[in-house]
Amino acid sequence: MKCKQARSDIALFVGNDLQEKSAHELEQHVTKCPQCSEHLTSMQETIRVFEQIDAGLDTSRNKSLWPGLSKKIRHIELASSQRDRFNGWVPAVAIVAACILIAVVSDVSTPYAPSRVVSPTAMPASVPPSQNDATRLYSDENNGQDPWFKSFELPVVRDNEPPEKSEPQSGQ
Amino acid sequence: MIAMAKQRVESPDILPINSNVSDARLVESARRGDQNAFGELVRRYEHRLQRVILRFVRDSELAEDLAQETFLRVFERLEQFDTARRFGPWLFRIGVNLTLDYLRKCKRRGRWSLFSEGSEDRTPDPGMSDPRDELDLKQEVQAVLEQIAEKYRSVLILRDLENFSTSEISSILNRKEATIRWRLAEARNRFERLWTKRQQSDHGIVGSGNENDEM
Repeated sequence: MKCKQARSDIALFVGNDLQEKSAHELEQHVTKCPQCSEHLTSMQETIRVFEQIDAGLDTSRNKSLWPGLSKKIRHIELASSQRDRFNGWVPAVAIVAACILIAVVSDVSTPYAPSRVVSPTAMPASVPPSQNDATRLYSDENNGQDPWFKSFELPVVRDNEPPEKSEPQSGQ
Repeated sequence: MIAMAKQRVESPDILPINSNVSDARLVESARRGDQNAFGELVRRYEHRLQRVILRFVRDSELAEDLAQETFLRVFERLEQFDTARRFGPWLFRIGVNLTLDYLRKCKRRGRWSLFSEGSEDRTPDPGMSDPRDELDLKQEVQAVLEQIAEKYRSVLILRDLENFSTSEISSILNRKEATIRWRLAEARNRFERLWTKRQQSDHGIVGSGNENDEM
């Protein structure tokens, strides 16, 4: 055992914090090394200082903390329950309000107006239908004429009947 | 009659819980809202906790405040406690951390020079039952302790002044037991060096002995 290791072990040995095997090795080293032996003596005296001052600190006669603490804990619990109640209904109200707001805003901003769009004047026969306005395309209020998509329909083939020749639509 | 009335008023604080009930069961009861169970835990540990804190702050009123704050934090974090572990080290960990944080804040603000020699002239706390002949020795020890870096001093206080085992200290300080043992050896050696120097210089001030720069 080297003296550096022995010094570290001595510090643990004086407080009974050294394992038995290491303590045995240390004892053997100390008997041979006068410096470490001297250090052991000095360390034992130092540790005794702690024992002397240890007895003076007595808190067992202090008043219990519990009466004051229990009041504070009741306050904490009361505040916590109020917070829980607040946390319960506020998010629910906020979600409902947000839904209503979204519904109102989307209703105002949508360009959809059926009475105006489906007007027969909105789709003159010469103008090809816009892709953006499906309502107009499928409107059946088209001055009694067949809507434009009728021209793309295939003739219905029935059994025992020759297929009819489709007539081209006027103006198409 | 007056005494009986007084006893009746104080009855909410008188705990009917059997002292044999384990800490873990008390924690579980406290989690379910049983304040008396938490009160029993407070009563079991309050004096020891105040004592430990007092080792660090040396002011009984402040130690009381810090102990109370510790119990409040424990109450708030009760759900986080693993009942398979021991309650004591967990409580002391919160208490010691709270105390060390407080001292660090004070040190930063300069209100309380934690490692200064100035505390040597501090008026002794009347709440502490110190016999007059022990006072000087205590102050001497305190002055030397304050020259030791915090990480060593904490271990030294918990082991040699409060008699916690190295295993308990490792739980309190959240370090491996091997680290605690190494720090303990180092702390004792540093204390011995400073103490011997101080004794040799006949209670003179050891100028270069402050180890706080090593932290």
